[in-house]
Amino acid sequence: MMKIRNWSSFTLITAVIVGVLVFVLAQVYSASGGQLGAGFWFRTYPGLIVALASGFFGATFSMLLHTQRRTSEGTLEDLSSACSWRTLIVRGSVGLGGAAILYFFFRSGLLEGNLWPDLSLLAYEPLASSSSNGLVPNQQWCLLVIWCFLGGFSETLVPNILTKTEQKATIS
Amino acid sequence: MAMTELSADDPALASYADVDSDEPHKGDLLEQFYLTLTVMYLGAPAGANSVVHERIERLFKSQHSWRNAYEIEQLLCFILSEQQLQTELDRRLAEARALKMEFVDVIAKELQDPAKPVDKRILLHRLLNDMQWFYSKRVHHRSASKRLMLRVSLLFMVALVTLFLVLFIQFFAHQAPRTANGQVAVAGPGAAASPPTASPEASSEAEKPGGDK
Repeated sequence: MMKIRNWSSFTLITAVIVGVLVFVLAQVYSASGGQLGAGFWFRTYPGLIVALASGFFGATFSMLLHTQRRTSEGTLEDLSSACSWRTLIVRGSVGLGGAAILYFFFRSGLLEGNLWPDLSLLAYEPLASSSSNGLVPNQQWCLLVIWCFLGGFSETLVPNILTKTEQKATIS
Repeated sequence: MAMTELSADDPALASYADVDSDEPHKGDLLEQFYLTLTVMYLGAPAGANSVVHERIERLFKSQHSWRNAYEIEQLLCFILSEQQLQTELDRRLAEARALKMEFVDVIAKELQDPAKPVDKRILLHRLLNDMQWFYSKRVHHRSASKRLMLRVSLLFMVALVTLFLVLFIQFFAHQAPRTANGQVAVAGPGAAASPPTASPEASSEAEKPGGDK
């Protein structure tokens, strides 16, 4: 009985999510003038999808490292809650959310210093050896990937940035 | 001393092939455990047709599983001879100490207290109960660990593949709007802001895989 109820809620939630997605996609398609493709998604807010993927990758890498310790030291209750899909999805979402907000922090200018990526300078540059035609991501791309990875990996980086920004706003 | 009257040739006792289908890899261990239990039962004094004896015999005849084996093990506490009981109690106490189980000292203390004589059968039953709980938890711990590792590894692989795909698509999406002479063809937030760090030659070369087709 409980399983049936879980399935029906799951189906309902999935249907709502799919419905919202279809609606959003239709709106985006009409707004893009029919040019909806991978290029459209990647050229609109350039770097955002890379940031999200990096954040998610960081979160899963963190989970992978914690898993080894959990399996050796954790109690049965810890493990049971840790291995549920809900917990794993929540942790992955934290990485995605952290990376998303970091992306806008980088562009906002609220973070000072040379360590942060400048989104307006995202580009690819040729290799130093003139004989090769290959391109590599420039320093700003690498900084974006690294910081977003860290945002997903560390559970404290983004909350700390948010707290400090909040304190700055309170003082000013 | 009259032994429990059960023939060792009894098919119910002799067959160990009837193992739960969900634990085939534990079949050998279970078979060995049933063998030990059978020998212990056959070595125990024969009693009247008590409820314990009936129950043990019914469990031996039913499907072999760890659950049934544990129940037989607990029931055996009440029919073992004094010598078997003492041996079993000593061995189980040593095993519990080696496993660093909680509350083992409480049981050991009760055994050594001369002022308070205790029923060793009750103590052995309690000890077996604690040990079976410990082993069951350990089995569940292992399966939960395995499940966690599998799920996290799966998520990690998905994230890794996604990141690589996204990086490659981003690269081609960044290059695609440029025309052959390196000019930005489609105005967009990123495309317009892209600085000309990539040389025109390199850009035109880089767009060949996607742009020329």
